[in-house]
Amino acid sequence: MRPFSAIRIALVLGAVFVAQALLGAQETLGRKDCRFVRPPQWAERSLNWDGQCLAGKAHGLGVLRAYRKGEEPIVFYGRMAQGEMALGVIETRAGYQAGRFSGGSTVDEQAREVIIDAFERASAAARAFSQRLGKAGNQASAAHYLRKSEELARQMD
Amino acid sequence: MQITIEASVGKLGSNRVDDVVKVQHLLAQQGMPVGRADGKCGPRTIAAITTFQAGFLHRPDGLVEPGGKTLKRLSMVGFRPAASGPVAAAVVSPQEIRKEVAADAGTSLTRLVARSSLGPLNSGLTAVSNSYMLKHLGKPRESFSSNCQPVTNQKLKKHIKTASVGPFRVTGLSPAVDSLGRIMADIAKKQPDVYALLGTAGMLCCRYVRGSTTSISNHSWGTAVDLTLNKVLDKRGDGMVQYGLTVIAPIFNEHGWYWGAGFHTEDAMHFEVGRALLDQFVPDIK
Repeated sequence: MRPFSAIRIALVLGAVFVAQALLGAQETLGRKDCRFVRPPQWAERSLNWDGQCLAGKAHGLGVLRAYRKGEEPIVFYGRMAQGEMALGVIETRAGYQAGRFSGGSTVDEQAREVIIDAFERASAAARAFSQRLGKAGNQASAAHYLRKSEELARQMD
Repeated sequence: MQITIEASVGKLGSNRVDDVVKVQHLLAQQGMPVGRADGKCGPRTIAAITTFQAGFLHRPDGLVEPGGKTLKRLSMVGFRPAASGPVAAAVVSPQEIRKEVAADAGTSLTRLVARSSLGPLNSGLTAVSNSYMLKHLGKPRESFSSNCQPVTNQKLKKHIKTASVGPFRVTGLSPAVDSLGRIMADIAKKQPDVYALLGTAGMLCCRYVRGSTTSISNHSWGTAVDLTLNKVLDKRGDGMVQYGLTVIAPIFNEHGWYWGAGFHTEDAMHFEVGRALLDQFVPDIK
């Protein structure tokens, strides 16, 4: 093989490797008809989206739960757009991260009305989830998420 | 229950193993990230002592002394002794301590402490009621809804400004924004670890308190601000408070601002101009 061809092959293989790495950073999960992107900060958690879907992707209001054995789940309440967290609230033990999201994290310096809107969407998502759980006969979880909905609604005065 | 130690623990302390274990347990109960109570007074333990002291000492020294203020504070939430084998003490440089504090700052400052463990809050300050605000500053606008709307009251409007106060920009009543800038400068000096993590969920927003059609939010006059710590808002009404907020609340109080952790429904992310400070602003709002 001529050295020039070997370099070309190496470049092509390198490009494939980089492309795979980039795809890996955008790992998609969920049912075939409702895929969503794994937020980078939840790399080692198992994720579950319960909410609206559109054209094969998580899209609309819902609840994204991130589990890891032996730890409290982290929960996103709000709106997904094209399979990614868009507007809402992440609840952790320390409190709430709220507002618009980009790449799995809240955007810096957000207007107060955006944060208020995020809590309202989050509350609506928790309430709708509670109703779905209630209809499915899971009354204990339905009550839990109804309580969450109320907590989220009264966060901003 | 008051816990006793035989000798000092921490930076340049005697660091007897039994004493170190006791202090490590107490720090862990306060939510400090000390890891396993192993009797070694390493950088993690000293960093935890220093961060803990930052809540009530102007000059944290990283040292817990028998019968001292730090030990009394640590003992406030009780103590559960646990078995641990004897381990030799370690010596740590100040550079290591700073490195350790910085690495743990995000989680150690958003850890939660019970509001009930904080003692009296907002000493000498009075919160401002809706009626007091209306009487002294007037109605910010004619009509309100549940959404944020702009100030239309001409008298107030000309005193609304947008400015950077250090870690973030806010829009609010001009003298309140200026006061907030001075508070942030003080926090930068006295609590740099907290300052580095501060953000905001906004100041001015004319609207009703959620669920009400009569009570106006105190944010409607631009004299209140909600803070985030490491991008995280403290949960309202759960009786728990992010530790970093407890550290800066006394600085707000010194400047005449009232901390929302003292409200009937705990609202620790919220700080607002207290009545005495508002009275100083009123003559200039014409």
